[in-house]
Amino acid sequence: MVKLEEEDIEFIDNYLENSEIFYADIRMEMTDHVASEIELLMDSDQTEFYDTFKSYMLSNKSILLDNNKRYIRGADKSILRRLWVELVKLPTLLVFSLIFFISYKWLSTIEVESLRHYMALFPVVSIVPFCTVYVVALKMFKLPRFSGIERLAFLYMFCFQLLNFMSSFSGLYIQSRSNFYIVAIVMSIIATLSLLIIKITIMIINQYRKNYKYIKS
Amino acid sequence: MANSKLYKGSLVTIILKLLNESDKMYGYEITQKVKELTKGELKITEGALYPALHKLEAEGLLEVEVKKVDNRLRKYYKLTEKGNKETVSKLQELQDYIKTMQVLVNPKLSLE
Repeated sequence: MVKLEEEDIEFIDNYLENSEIFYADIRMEMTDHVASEIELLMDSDQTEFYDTFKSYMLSNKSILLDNNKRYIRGADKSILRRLWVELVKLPTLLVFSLIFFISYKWLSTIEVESLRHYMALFPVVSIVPFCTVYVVALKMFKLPRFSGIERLAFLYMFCFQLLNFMSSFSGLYIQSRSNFYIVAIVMSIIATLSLLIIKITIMIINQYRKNYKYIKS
Repeated sequence: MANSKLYKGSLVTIILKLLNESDKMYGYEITQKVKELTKGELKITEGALYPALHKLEAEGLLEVEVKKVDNRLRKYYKLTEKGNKETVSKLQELQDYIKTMQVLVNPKLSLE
């Protein structure tokens, strides 16, 4: 059985990277798949690497590029699925209840109407912690571009828009002391969601560090 | 995949069953194993296989291990404990489905 040399593997990897398959985890698996297929073809057709590679890419490149898009969509879905799994866990409900209780108590001690001007800042303030965790982790561990990590930005954008909408919505309701509940609920959702995103970010980064320790940036 | 509409719903069960029979497998190995077992009748494309593997991994049914093999990095998949339980249930589900189809398609044979 033919086995490709290290420079052949590097050639495939570079070719895929230049074909805009940027994420290291996706490219690693694709490189192995393409290399295995080429080895099989070289064996059966008794051909050289470059000829086999060229002919393979002629008929399969568009499929590979299409698959890349599919894997990225899969990474997005997987992140959202994780968020959902974490959302429905009992500890999340307990954290939400605790934050709600603290917020409610705190709101009863202040002039609630004065909060209206600050509600718009809540999403901005809440996005800072998880962006900090993300940037610090990437700098500290010097990770390459991994689909699961980089696509977290999609989750951040989604959550930021959601929190922004909720803050604007609750801002309209802050008119009297009777609106404690709505404000407290919004504050609890923002805080719980922010904590969950930090948790998911740390989980995904640790998973990649554990599973892909051989891939260097 | 050949006869894709019929086989599509069984892809996860096929993957789980193959992983259940071996310690660990990588993507290309799964495609080749299926091709070999079905004598080329069923060909799993990478466009269908890898998203399914990644989904099973995200659901905690599979765990992965990356190793350097033959001058390159290779991602191996193996069943977790949850994956083993899911395999049993998926296989049972598929067998029930086959039995039901058998009754509908070939009632005489199913009574024997």
